[in-house]
Order: sequence, then structure tokens, then C-alpha cells
Amino acid sequence: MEQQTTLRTAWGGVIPVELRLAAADAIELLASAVLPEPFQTFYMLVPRVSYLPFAISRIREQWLDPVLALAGGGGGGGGGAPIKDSDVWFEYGGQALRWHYPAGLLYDMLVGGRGGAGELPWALTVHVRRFPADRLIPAPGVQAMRDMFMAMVKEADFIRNGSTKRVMDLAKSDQMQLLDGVQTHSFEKYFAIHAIIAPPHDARAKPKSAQPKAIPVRFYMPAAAAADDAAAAAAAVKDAPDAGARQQQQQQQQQPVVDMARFHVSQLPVPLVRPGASSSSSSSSSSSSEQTTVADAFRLCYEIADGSAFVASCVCLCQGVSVPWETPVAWLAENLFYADCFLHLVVAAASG
Amino acid sequence: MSDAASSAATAAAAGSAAQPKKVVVRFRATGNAPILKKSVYKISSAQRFQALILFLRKELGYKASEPLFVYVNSAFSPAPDEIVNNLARCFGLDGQLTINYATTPAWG
Repeated sequence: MEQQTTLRTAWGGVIPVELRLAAADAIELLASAVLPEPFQTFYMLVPRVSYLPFAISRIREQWLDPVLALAGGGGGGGGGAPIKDSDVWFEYGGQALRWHYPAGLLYDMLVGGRGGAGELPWALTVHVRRFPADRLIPAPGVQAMRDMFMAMVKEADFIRNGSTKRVMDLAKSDQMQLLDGVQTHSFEKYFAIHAIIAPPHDARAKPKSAQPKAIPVRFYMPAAAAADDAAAAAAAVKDAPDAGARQQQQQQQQQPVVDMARFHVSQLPVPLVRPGASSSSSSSSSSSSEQTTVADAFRLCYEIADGSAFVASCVCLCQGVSVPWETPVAWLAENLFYADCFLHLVVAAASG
Repeated sequence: MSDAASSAATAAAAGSAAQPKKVVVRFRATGNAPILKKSVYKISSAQRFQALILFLRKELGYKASEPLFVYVNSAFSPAPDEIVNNLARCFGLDGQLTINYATTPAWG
């Protein structure tokens, strides 16, 4: 019951977004850098677990297409070629947003990780021309996003179970329902199928097979906060007293724009039980001292032996929530996962 | 043998400082895809998956317009921007990452 509430809350998370059309594109389409009132901005709620390409049709139907129709009717502009979904991209602070990342992850990387009160609504620029194929995976769109999403679900399944059997065994209609659930942000549709591919682990239930082998975890850390690499992180640990201060300095230099390309992404299958801990007592709910924590997962991922001081100087964001480092990964994996079944954790310098 | 790194490096340039580590990659043809003369390569672990695809295309002499579907462990297609090191750590077996390729979709 409690878990249902957490799942619903996490699934229900939305980001208010304020969109403006890029000036260069507006000039090209409408011969004016600024759209006519009241079309200058468009507001919408983007679900954290969803993806930007799933928002494009609404942006076009309710905003861009009507503006263009009006302008076209007035005989101005002329606009040239029509807008193609595969040319639509989003920008924040000079950064082209990776369309295949969940919206909540993008926000946590670029806004949440900077600490402070955040930025709401999240002001993004929409581009409909000059797709930056050198920085983004080309040709976004609803179908491309659905394919990319299914590939991620399979990757997660492989980490959890050592094969993609659970996902491959889904009936075509179930797979469609899973995808529709994400695309339309339907809790019921999505979780009916999620329960098949990643059934919640119940320690008291009899088939032990429900327990995954490992948890799909990805850490995202700005290279500055990472001090380039784990080695440097380990070095920072040595002179622990001023590590925190240094972090803050770096953070200040880094403000306000976090470069997406500078994020270090580290992925590892994280075991449920801490490596080295005896798993003999795993029959019951394993004692808390044996469960892998977020801090353990971080150390495993970055191959740091200790790193407790470094960890203490950072925060870990999961679904926009700053989670304590001692949170068991198993609990996160059953409550704060993204729709692709991954735990996407953003590590950022703690704001002072 | 290890020129995979330099030849396909343009698309890579991952966010992190380049790690000197190499990953052993074994390419396996599926269906009627052509077989490589040499199937095992060492590839820089800091590369993106995209660089590995470009390298494979070059070795096969495939143009960008010709379809090529690339999978890990006969199971799934990683996103082009995933880092090879992450894939090797998650899906490698005995220090080797198995990449399957096909000219038609093979594993959904």
C-alpha cells in the first residue's frame, strides 16, 4: 500500500516547462524574431518519467501549427519548408537536450544538480531547424523514441536477469501497452506490464527467483564535480578537510551552465547485497548492514576504495529527490526507478 | 590492430578524460551479414558505442545508407552515446564484449 503511494507519486512527477521558439527559426518561419501575442510562450507539464519527443505532437498541434497557419493566412513570412518532427530539438542554457533521456533526468542534470530552489517553470527554447546532429542522436520522433525506450528496457532486463527473456516474452499487445503507458503517462497501463517484466521483490514470497541478480544503475556526474575522474576523487578524499570547500569553488566556477557533454556517465550492475557481506542470512529480509547502499553503488561504479569524504561533499538526486547515501539501492530500485527500469542518479556538489 | 581507436575516434570524445584502457570486442555476424576477416579487436574503453558502429561499418565497407543493426550479447541495441567501458563492465564476459551485427533487425 505504502509502495503504491510512492510509485504513484514518483510516476506522477511533472515539470512545468515554458517554451519559446528560437529567434532564428521564428525569423525563418514568420519573418519576425518574436511570435505574435499571445503565442510567444507555450506552457506545458512534462512528466519526469516521459521523454521530450512524446511532447512534440502537442507542441505542434496546440502552438506552432496554429501560429504558422495564422501567419500563412495573413500572407506574411511564408516560412519555407514545413516543420518535421525529426528536426525538433530543445535547448537549455546553450545545451542541446538529449531527447532519449527522461525529462526528469535532464532537469536533475542541468538544474537540480546546481542546488538552490531550482527553476520553475523550466524555460526551454524550441528549435525546428538546424538539428545539431553532431551533439544529439539524429532523427528524434515518436517511433524512434519508442524503439529507443524498448532497447533501454531490454538492457535493464539483461542487467536484472541475465537475459532479455522477460521483455522478449511479452506479447506484442503488452509491449504496445507498456509503450503507450509511457507515451500517454498512464499509470495503470504502464504498471500492468511493469509488474510482468520487473515484479516487485517480496522477501516473504516463496519463489525466490523474483529477486533480480543486480540493479541497473547509472550515475551522472559533471566532470568538474567528478574532478575529472575517480582517481582525482580519491585524491580529494585524502585531504578531506578542504574537499568540501574545493567542491564549492568548482561549483561556483561552473555556474550557471552545466555542459551536458562534460557529464561522466557510469553504469554498473549493482548487486543487492554488499559484495563481501555473507549472503547466508538472505532468506529473510537481509539485514540492513548487508544491503548495498547508494554510497556503496557509487564506490563500485567509480572504483573508489573509500571515498566517504567525497561522497559526503556531494548530493545524489534520484527523480528530483536528494536521497541519503545510506539508502538501500534495492529500495530505490523498487520505488524511484524511471520508466525504462533504470535508476538514473545525478551526483552533484552539495550546495553550501 | 588497435587503430580502431584512432580511426573511429572522431565521433567519440566522451565527457570524461580519456582512459587508456582497452576493451576486447568480438564481432559476430548474424543472418546473412558478411563476416569480418578478423573478429576480435581492442577498442578504447572511453569511446561511445557510435564509434564502435562506425568502425564496424568501415571494416565491412558499408556505406551510411546501408542498414546495419548492432546488438550486445544477442539481446539489445545500446544507445549510440553509451560508453563502451560501461557496456563492457555490464555485459562483458571473460573480459570480452560480444557485439552481434545483422543487415535486418534481429532481436527486436
